[in-house]
Amino acid sequence: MTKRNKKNQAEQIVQEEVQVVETPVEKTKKEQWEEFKIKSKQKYDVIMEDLKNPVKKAVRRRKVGSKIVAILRGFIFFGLSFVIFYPIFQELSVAFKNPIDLNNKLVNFIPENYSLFNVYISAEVLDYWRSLWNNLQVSAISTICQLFATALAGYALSRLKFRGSNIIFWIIMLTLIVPPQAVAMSRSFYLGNFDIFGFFENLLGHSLKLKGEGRAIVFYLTSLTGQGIRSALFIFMFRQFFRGIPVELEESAQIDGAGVVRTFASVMLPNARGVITTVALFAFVWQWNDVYYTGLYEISGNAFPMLTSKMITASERLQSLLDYIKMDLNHPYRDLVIGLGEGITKNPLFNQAILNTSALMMLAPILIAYLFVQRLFIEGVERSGIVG
Amino acid sequence: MENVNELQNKNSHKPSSFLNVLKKIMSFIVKNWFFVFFPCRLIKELIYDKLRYEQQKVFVSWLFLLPTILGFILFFAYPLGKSFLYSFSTVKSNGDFVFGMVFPKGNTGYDFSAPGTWDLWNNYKYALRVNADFPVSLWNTVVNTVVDTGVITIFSLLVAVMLNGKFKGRTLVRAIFFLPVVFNSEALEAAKEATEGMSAVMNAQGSGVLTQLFDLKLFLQGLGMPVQLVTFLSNITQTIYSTISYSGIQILIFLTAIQSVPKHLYEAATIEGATGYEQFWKITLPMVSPMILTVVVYTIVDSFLRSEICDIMELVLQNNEYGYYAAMSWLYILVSLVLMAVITGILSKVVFYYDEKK
Repeated sequence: MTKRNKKNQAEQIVQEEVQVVETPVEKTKKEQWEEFKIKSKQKYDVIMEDLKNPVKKAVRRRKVGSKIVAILRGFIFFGLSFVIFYPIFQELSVAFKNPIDLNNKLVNFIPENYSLFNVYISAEVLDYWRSLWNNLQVSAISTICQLFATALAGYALSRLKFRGSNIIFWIIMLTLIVPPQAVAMSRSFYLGNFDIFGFFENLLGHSLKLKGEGRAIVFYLTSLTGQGIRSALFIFMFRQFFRGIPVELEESAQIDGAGVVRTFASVMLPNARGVITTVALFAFVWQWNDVYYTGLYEISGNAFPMLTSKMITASERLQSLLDYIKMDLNHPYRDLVIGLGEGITKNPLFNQAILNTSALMMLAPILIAYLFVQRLFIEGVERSGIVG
Repeated sequence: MENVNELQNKNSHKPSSFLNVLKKIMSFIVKNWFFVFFPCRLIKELIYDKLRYEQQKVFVSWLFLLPTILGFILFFAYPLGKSFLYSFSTVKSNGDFVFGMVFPKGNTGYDFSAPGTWDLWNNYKYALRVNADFPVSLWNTVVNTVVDTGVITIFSLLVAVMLNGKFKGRTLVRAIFFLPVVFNSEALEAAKEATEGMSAVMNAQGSGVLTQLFDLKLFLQGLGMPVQLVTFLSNITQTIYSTISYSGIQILIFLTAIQSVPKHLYEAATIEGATGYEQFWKITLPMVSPMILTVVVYTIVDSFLRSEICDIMELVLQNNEYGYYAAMSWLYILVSLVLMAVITGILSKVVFYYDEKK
């Protein structure tokens, strides 16, 4: 009611105003001033009444609060996004910069001379296309293996409980808690001479050699048995997700005549699209960026190059590549390399530029893939919090 | 050029050999499908179909867990036990070991033909007394881990709460915030370490401009804040990038936890007139607290993996000192487990478990 009254008041005031405007003929300045005074006094009263109204007060406070929060949030997000994007910008700028600009103090972000020289050199040093193919193959297959093992285990530990399954869960969590360095060395010995109670010895006459150049099967095997890169975390995530799915769904499937496996395959898995995306993304990216295990199992080599290990040793091969380009008379970049001179090619900055470029090239495929998967991934973040 | 040709040949050879193996396996299955699938069918018809539904559940559960348990025994428990034995013994380069014996060192590793002396704790003695770096860096690691864990947990909780709110461009911001998970690469760091001393040069070129512009340290000290606090704060701000890039998973865990908080709690609180701030402390934090435990454990593990102690252990491994390495890794496990036990022990007093059925 009060609100309506106030509205009426305000309307009256407006009407008065209109009347005043309609008869502006022959008024002294003093009268005008008086009128203005009265009008402003009325407006002032209305505003004051508004300010004192407790309901409006609360509304106002909430509005101002949310505005301030929004501004603050905007600042924080903008700052953090800047921090995240800064190195990517830097690497992009370095990648397309002519090395001549490296010694130029005036060039900071936008290169003065563009060139694909850095990209070309990085691709050569990384053995890019072959490494890319190998990386893609290894990451994709082991991601599928990881998904298979962890989804099954996560489902079994959350919905198909039996006495003692909690103990199994904690034992599996132990693999996350114990640092991989502790297991790594003896596991590496073991994989170099793999055998299960003399089974392969009897069958084939020799034990299996599961590590060494090109034997990426180690990754598939460990992923398939839930011992890949942070598999325990994925099991945890799947368990967390499946626990949240309402029991009624399972019961109705059971009443409709679906068996246990059928329930899992056609009721639970389609719901788990989000968490599957999340896990797949992490598994893929971690396998892609992995240095530790690739080095430990000695997978990478000249016949089977992989991006990460090529990248670590990139600076060793740089100078010999430059020398090779200098010797090759028909090489398109020969003039450029000779023109650069040792002042730049022996400069650590140049080395750094090449490393940054190769890092960008190494991560570019996942970045592009992320752009496409991102929507599903974010959706997965929201969905994996399903509650009954 | 010959070299290149050879490489190309190998390249073309590689996928085809992989396909060949696949083909072989497939043809084996196709030819012998009866013998491959018959036992499965037999098991299904004779055992599985005769079970009650609850028993079927248990059966399937074991079936689903089978690969993981197998992998746990083969690739985790067995190597872990073996590394425990290694830590008390002298290890040959092919993985054989002599338990509890110490051999004199020859030119190329240990001289196993010489008579050894019995000393069970030799490797541990080496790690704690002879190696100058190990105990110091172990202590540093513990300190850094505690600080890191605190910072990352609080940071990721705050970010998750902020990301959970409704605002324009939320999808974009979320996509950006999980970008470091993708972009964060150990390889890059390792490569940069390989060409050490270069970050200084890089800083001189321009990436240092930021820190020069906002020299927080000088500014705060000028305001009269205590030096130690300023150093602590500036360390945190300087490592903001690594903090963001290492808190991706944590943000994810918190975000899902926040979203699984029942909405009716918030509705009731809003009707009662609670502000967002109060809602955070009274609803969000208690409801999320079990996940705080998870995040803390994960963060401890993660920051142990990135600590300086790994470099020292790597150095020992490169010298083929497997016994020393095993002893160090067991000390490292013990320390990390103790740290985890202490922190989770403290935290579990605070953790609140919400039970909907009550």
